[in-house]
Amino acid sequence: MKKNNSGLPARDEKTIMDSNMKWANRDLSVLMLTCGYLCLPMVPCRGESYSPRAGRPHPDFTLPNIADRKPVSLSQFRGRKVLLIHLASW
Amino acid sequence: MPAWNTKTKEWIRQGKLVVVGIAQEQHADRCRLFAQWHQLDWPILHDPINVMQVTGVPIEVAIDERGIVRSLQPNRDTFEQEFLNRVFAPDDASPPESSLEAVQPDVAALRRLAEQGGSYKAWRDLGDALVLWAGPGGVDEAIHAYAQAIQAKPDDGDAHFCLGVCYRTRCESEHQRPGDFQTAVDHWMTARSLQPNQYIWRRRIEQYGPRLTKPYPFYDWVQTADREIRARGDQPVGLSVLPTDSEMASPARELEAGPGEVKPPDPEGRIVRDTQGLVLAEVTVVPARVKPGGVVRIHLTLRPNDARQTHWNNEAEPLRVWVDLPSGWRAQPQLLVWPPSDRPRSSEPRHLELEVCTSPDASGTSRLGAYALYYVCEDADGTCRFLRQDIPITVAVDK
Repeated sequence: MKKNNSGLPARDEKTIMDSNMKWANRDLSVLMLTCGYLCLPMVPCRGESYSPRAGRPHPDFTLPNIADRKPVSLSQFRGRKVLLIHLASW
Repeated sequence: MPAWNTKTKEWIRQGKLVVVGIAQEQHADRCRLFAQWHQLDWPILHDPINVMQVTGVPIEVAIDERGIVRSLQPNRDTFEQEFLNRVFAPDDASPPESSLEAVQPDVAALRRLAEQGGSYKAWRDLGDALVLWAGPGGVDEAIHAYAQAIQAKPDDGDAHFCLGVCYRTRCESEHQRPGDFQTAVDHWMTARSLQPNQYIWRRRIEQYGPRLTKPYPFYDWVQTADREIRARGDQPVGLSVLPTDSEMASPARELEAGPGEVKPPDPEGRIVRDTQGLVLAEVTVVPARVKPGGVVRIHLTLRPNDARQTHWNNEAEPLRVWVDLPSGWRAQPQLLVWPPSDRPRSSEPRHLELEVCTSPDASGTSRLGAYALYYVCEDADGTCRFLRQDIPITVAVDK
């Protein structure tokens, strides 16, 4: 399954797809415009703090790997147990 | 992190667990050095603009095969039993979705969207994509995108924080422009004033700020890491930008006493002024505003002017900077001296830092009369001169 990923707004996209709205095949710009006005509780939107909750889906994300700058998404590890660690060297 | 790293190595080897880190830091190569030092062999992702909206670190989250969060800050001792060996039944008994290929955003599509619609969010999304995926070459466009977002929504704290990150990035690049660092600090300050409890934003200011407001030294580990990695026979990850003094300084409870009385090197102002701009000076005050009695860290950068083809003469007296203070103000140090160089001439930027404690009675905008004394030479004809440059420093004190 190919993901129509737009980096951060992917969190919003995931929510939409979960709702079986079949957005994935639509034009990216239509999707993005929609995402701009959607901010569902399980998705950390700008202006809201990161607040994952036990029993709820973790929002998807796509960020560059520090080793090679290649994109890495949480959703690419579906089927595996993941320990996600938010860190800073300081 | 090191504790989790030790604990998870075997589980990763057995294929029972994937560990993914997300680093909330300005510089990716410092994260790489940190990972190399601690031998973290799982992927670490870079989030310099905090798109994850994290308000503190570290945070550990255990996520099952279906992407469902199962625990926050899991216990290392019971992790295997309570998470790894456990089968989590989904509510709808559906099998886990297949994995999705990670794809970076289509920057061109985001650009079209921003230019057509012009909403603050579209501009901010474009800025985010440029910062994360376009590399150093995208920083000017990212600055434009975030500026557009702020124009559309002036109280967008995220955009202010991200814009600060961009200006700091450009300040550390070969494309730096005068005022980039101060502009970064100003936007970080605005972001913090909009959301005072955003820990990650606060830390970014403290990274460059005075010792009195530091929770800990941020990058004092860099030298230790470098030494220990070399001792293992490895070559440490090279840093594109070495940590500044403020980034390595230890916290302090009060401004330290100086080395005794120091005298101004040119009290009567008799040294000839650098009217031709042979050396360029830049000042950044962190934080940009303080309460009466508060402390600021002042970053001074002096660099030979490329346009004038000048260089430092290191065979004479060293570069010195003096700061005149209003009554009731203190500085540490009040006289800065650049250490001697082995080379007779050089043209590197010289970064000096000092801390200034404002008077308890201070209010409004104060201008400190700082000046630098240096030997500078012109490449063309080899003429060297001893010059003075007056460097006004503005500190804003809010009651």
